[in-house]
Amino acid sequence: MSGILALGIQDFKRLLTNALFWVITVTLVLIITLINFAVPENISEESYGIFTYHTDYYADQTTAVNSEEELRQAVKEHGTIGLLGNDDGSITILNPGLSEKTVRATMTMLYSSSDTYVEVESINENNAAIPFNKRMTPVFICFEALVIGFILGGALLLSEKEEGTIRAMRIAPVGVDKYLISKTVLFSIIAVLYALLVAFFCVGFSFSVHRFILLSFFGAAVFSLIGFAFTTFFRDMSSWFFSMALLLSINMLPVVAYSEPSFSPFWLRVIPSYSLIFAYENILFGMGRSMLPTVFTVAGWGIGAYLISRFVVGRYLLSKGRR
Amino acid sequence: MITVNSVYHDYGGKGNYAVSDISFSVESGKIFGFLGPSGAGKSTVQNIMTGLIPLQRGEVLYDGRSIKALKTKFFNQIGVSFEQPNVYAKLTGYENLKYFAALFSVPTHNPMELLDRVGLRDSAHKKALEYSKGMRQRLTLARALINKPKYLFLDEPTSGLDPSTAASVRELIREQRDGGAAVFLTTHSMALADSLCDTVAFLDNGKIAAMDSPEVLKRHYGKRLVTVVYNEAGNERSESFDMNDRALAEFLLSVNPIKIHSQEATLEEIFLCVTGRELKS
Ligand SMILES: Nc1ncnc2c1ncn2[C@@H]1O[C@H](COP(=O)(O)OP(=O)(O)O)[C@@H](O)[C@H]1O
Ligand SMILES: [Mg+2]
Repeated sequence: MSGILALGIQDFKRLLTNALFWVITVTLVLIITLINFAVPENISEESYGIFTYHTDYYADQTTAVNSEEELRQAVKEHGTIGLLGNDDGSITILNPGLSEKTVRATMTMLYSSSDTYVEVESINENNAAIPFNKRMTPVFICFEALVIGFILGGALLLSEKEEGTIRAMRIAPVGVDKYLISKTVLFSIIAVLYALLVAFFCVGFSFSVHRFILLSFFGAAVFSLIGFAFTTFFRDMSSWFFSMALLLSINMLPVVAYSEPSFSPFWLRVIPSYSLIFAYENILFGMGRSMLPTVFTVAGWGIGAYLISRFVVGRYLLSKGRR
Repeated sequence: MITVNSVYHDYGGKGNYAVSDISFSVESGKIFGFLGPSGAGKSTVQNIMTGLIPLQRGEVLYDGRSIKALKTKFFNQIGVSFEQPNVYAKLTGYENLKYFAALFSVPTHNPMELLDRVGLRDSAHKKALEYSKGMRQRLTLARALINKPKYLFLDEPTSGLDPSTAASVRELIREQRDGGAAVFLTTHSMALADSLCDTVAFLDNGKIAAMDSPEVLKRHYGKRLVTVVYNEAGNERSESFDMNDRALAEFLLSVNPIKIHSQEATLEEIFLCVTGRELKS
């Protein structure tokens, strides 16, 4: 255990002197600034009025419309809540993509005193209500914060090769598990912090932070582990850099499906960032989709990446008997 | 005890052996020196013994257990200093030792005390990047000692060190031996081998040419060593011979001898005598 911590601290100190680390950190700040200054207002302040159909609810900001169709259309276009009265006297809230918390709060405000049965229906397949730049937050989190271990882990590993310290590591009582876990956990912690920063500054605080942290931690771990296995096959920074950048670009392809949901061929869906982007959308904007598929996908990737990395790093990087 | 039995190594796999038929043993509480010119195969043997190079042929045994059967945990008992000093350049000397120490599950030395012993206390908080090659070498040595190793491997521990630092490093190595460690060191310095080693093996061209304690080697060869000082075109030159060597007689006839004397040989001369090769190339 102390070995893992020691390796982690050692890597962290080396990281602080690494130029790439600061490049990524500065980029993070740039991204946050960009998202916020491009669209200054917050999504929850975006929606004001409430559209209603078939209810007797009335207040200053409500607009009654004449059919359920019209109501759904209005909700989508304006990105505000719709109240749909049902024949049995209960109410369905149509949610265009606001966080579940916001909706529940509204609902409580409107109906806490009465005993009307209220149900929430999410109708935000195309998310017209979420400003474009905010909607891109998951993309930035995936390609900035989560891949930190992929880039910097590789850089640290290569400097160990170049300095020859990897040879000292080989004859130290450090197993491949300790080596991998210490580095993976370090980068996952940094990734969680960076991802939280982006999320807080760009989307606000109305999302499940627990889920967000778990997703970021394990998502980043997948990238770090793939990175270690990948980097093992390179000798130095210059030969590695181009391939690393290429792989990162491929990993960015799912952004196409995210912008244009009708385009999601199988090959795109198997790229790890695909599930992660949509999972972030789900968490940050309260899309209300089940998290279960994400859990399975990330767990699958995590276990797979660990086993591959363990094999490659153990066999080709740390094995005693290699130069 | 470390036992090496008939070890061969072929880097290219084409039948060119970098070292061949190497057999010796290093006992606990003893210093075993591998002496030979650069390229003789000293580092190759050390790397095979520590497992950094896979064992191709022959045996390496630690207290009877084959190196192939050793688990990660075993490396708690090994200390290795490399020929090329390899430390984390971005970390200070102190940090290099502190983090390395934490990798062991056995008691370790206080990093600062070790740094003091190798003369790096004043530079403890400087990045290794700013160290000279000699300083980095001493840091590598300190790192090799941090886990109080039972088996210590030192590849050219004093090369590039100034005489006084070299002397304190020698003292440090002696202490390890007196503490019961089995010390294996490689060097091309005859003086180091002479002053430090309980047993010396001459390595020439990948083969052990002679092996014994320095005293025995000197007694054995020293008695028979003859130096001829002769005149060649007005310059005084000298050449050493094995007393039983026929070449001596021929040589005496072919030159203008000024004086002839027999003497106790230095390891350097013995090396030359045994291998026909200068130690320093
Ligand atoms: N990685 C390697 N690949 C091929 N040949 C090597 C390698 N390392 C060393 N050699 C060769 O093996 C021989 C012994 O080298 P080495 O063990 O480093 O000698 P020493 O330590 O005595 O100077 C030399 O001829 C050297 O060129
Ligand atoms: Mg050598």
